[in-house]
Amino acid sequence: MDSEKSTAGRMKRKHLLVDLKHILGKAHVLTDPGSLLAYESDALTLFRSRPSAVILPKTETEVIACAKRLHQAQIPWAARGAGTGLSGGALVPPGGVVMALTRMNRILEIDPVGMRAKVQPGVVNAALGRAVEPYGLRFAPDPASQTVSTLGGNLAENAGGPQCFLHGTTTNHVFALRVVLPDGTVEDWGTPSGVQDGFDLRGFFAGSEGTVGIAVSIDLRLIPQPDEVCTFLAGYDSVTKACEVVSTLVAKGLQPVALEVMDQNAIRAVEDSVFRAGLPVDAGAVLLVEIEGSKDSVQKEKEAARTILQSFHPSVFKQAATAEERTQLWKGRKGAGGALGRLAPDSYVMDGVVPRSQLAAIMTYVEEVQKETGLHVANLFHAGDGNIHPHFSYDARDAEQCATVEDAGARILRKCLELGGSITGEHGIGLEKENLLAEQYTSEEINLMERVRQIFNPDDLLNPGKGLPMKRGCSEVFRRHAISHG
Amino acid sequence: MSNSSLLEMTAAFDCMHCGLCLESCPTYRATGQETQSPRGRIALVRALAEERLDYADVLPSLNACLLCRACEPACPSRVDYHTLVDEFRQAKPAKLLSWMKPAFFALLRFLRRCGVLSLAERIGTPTSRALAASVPSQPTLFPTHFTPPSPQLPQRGTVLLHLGCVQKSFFGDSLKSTANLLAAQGFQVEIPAQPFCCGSSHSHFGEPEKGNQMRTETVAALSQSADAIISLAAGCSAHLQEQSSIPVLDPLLFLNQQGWRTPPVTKKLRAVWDPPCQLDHVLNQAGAMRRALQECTHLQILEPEDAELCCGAGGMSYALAPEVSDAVTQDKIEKILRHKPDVVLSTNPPCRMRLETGLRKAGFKGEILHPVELLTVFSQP
Ligand SMILES: Cc1cc2nc3c(=O)[nH]c(=O)nc-3n(C[C@H](O)[C@H](O)[C@H](O)COP(=O)(O)OP(=O)(O)OC[C@H]3O[C@@H](n4cnc5c(N)ncnc54)[C@H](O)[C@@H]3O)c2cc1C
Ligand code: SF4
Ligand code: SF4
Repeated sequence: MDSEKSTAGRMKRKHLLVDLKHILGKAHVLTDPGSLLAYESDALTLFRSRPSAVILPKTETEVIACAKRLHQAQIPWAARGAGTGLSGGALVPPGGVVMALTRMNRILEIDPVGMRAKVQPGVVNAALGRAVEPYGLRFAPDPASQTVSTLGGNLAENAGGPQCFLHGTTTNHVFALRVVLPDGTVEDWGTPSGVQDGFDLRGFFAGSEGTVGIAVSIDLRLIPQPDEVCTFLAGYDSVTKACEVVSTLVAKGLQPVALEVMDQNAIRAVEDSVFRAGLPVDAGAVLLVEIEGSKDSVQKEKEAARTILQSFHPSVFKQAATAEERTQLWKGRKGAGGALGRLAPDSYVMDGVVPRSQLAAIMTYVEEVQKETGLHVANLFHAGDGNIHPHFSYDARDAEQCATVEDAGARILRKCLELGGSITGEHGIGLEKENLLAEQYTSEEINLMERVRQIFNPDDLLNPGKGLPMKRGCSEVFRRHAISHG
Repeated sequence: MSNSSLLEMTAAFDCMHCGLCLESCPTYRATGQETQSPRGRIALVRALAEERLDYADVLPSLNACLLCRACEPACPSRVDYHTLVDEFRQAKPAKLLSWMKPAFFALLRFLRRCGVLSLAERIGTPTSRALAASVPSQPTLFPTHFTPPSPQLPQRGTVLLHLGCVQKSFFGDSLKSTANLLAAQGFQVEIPAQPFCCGSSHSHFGEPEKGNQMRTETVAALSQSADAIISLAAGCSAHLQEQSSIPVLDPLLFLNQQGWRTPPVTKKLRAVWDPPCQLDHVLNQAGAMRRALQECTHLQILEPEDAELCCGAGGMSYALAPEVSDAVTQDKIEKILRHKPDVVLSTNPPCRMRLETGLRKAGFKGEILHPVELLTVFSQP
């Protein structure tokens, strides 16, 4: 009986592969062991799950045809952009199919007058930036992964970055999108003008972590490059002091475009890496403040900010004198995560949010956890948004350390909830935090979300098990690294 | 090499799978495949070390790597990528290496002249087709008994000319032009007896000891007192420079450093130069070379968009994984042709061959040259 079933299963799979190859061409359906392994993780290597095939469509028509065929086969599948996600979002349960959208990387239209661009989902965030720069425009969301991550992935995770404090996260920069639903139906959500009428399904899609449908083209909002930019770097003796400065800046009504804090461990890692930015290695923390706008407004804000920053007696205080210096500072900030990766074989980036006023409290707690566990923790965070990113360095080959890291992470996130915050700021729930979601929301609330999702993804075959707690019995399908590693 | 010695390769474990290297990699850009990216390749080698994959599963991905090393500066973890690949290769050195002998090159020249290669480009295995197509349409051998002209007086110094296997076998004319140009600029050109090949390919394709030994012999042969070793191949320069105590330089770079005695004159041409990866990512001389080219030709030297990406000639991908390197090359050729060039310049023989194959296929009618020939072939009296 069993063998009959598996023979039938094999036949079904074979037919499916033949059809997918027919749709996409042989070269774009990967089933060799090497390729499958390469797609077993995203940037969160804590989870691994090997797909049974990877498909790489080039056009919308191909995506639709594949979706229909996968729907017919009732096989779990998921989209993948660059695979820089930090919550296991682009993984499928064993036997599932990964649809990599990296070949759909054309910018379809740039409309400098309407200040919008239409892109395929596999366009890299920074590539769009480069393409619109000659028009004096930019795409505001600037995740630290922007040189490689795709706009489809940015949208699905509702990615944020330093500049999102003023400009808002990806969802604020999407006018419209074309979505292929799990059964291959095509929907257009939002309007190219950006005016939303009726239910805002466009907004619903942003941050849905690839569980609602596949975005095959996206209309994005562009904004003008600012006339003037001013970047301050201030070093303080402690992280709590830096947090206090942040609260004061905001309380005084200043509107910087970015407010970023790095602690000493992060500073030292940056200064010891290719991203060296001239940060003060002896400071307890540095605060990066960026102000942009018209010449007049920057002049005014700049003076106000300078006064506040200096009133807290920084050990180091400077303003980036040239565009290169400014770029170097941001390279340092954005490269910090990577630089920290050098410290140990593996690193784990946490993502949590607290109300800005509680930043000092959560940092004190992180320090307590660090002392208790003896783990190496470095902090860098989008202070303006209260979005913290403690980075743990560890060795995944040590099962005990893995458990300690996971436990420490969970404790910090619980503390975020206790302080009135949230368990994710921008990396999404993915596989990682679904159980904690049940602590943030009541079961009724989660049921409601589940029901909404079922309208679009009724069989839960598109990216199953992400974003919402899995149905009972399924939670072990994605094996954790330390366990599968052996 | 056993899996346990692979396990000691720290590079595989330095990688944290962040993906920040993806877009710097030409094979990933051309295919969109994770297996064709630095992160993917490292993950495969790591899986091999952990016995989660077999050697044969890993090989296709590594074979397609262009060894251009563009991924290294992009990596925040400073993963020592090329060492990882070099070590991986040691398990099974590339078979092609044993063919890198004068007789084989002579045979290729002969087959090209009598038209057999044009036929071979159309029939045969993908590997043999790619090899056949890579041989230049008019290969010239550097004569064994070539006497460089005496330097224009007053003599300014002495240089040693490194010949190089591919350079000498296929692009002998460029070497002659180089000797003439250097002499005209006041340098005594010495061409000491030297090994046929410097071993650069051996070092990167699984025979590092042999590669190092060949390099030692080459450097020893070129160890007279001189201002510089002149090489027309960026790949050889990078390899030799690791050991040589005197600078190993492209002739134009050298002359630009020394100052031009009589500035050469060139025709007004639209020239595109594609910087070789070894010059750019290993020797860090792309900027200096760009300036040298501008200054000595007085031309606006154009570069293709994404000039920092490899042209597809790197590694042995063109023979071992032609579908991948062809995609990379096609992209490069499109970007070069967008400038509508009269000539295309290259400062590394494998790149020059690769570009010639691609450009001819795309119907390009102009010349493909080392810039030193631009100064002599096109210089007006
Ligand atoms: C070094 C580093 C720094 C980072 N910095 C930041 C940061 O500052 N801010 C931030 O927010 N994040 C950050 N991230 C996380 C990550 O880069 C973002 O989540 C990014 O948006 C993911 O894009 P991607 O193309 O890699 O998507 P993937 O990881 O491939 O996929 C992410 C999710 O999106 C879904 N998806 C992808 N494309 C589509 C599509 N077309 N339609 C529907 N669903 C789709 C996938 O199914 C998956 O669930 C960082 C990651 C790294 C490694
Ligand atoms: S950038 Fe470096 S650490 Fe990150 S995936 Fe690439 S090789 Fe690994
Ligand atoms: S050496 Fe070049 S081709 Fe190879 S992985 Fe690095 S960037 Fe890609």
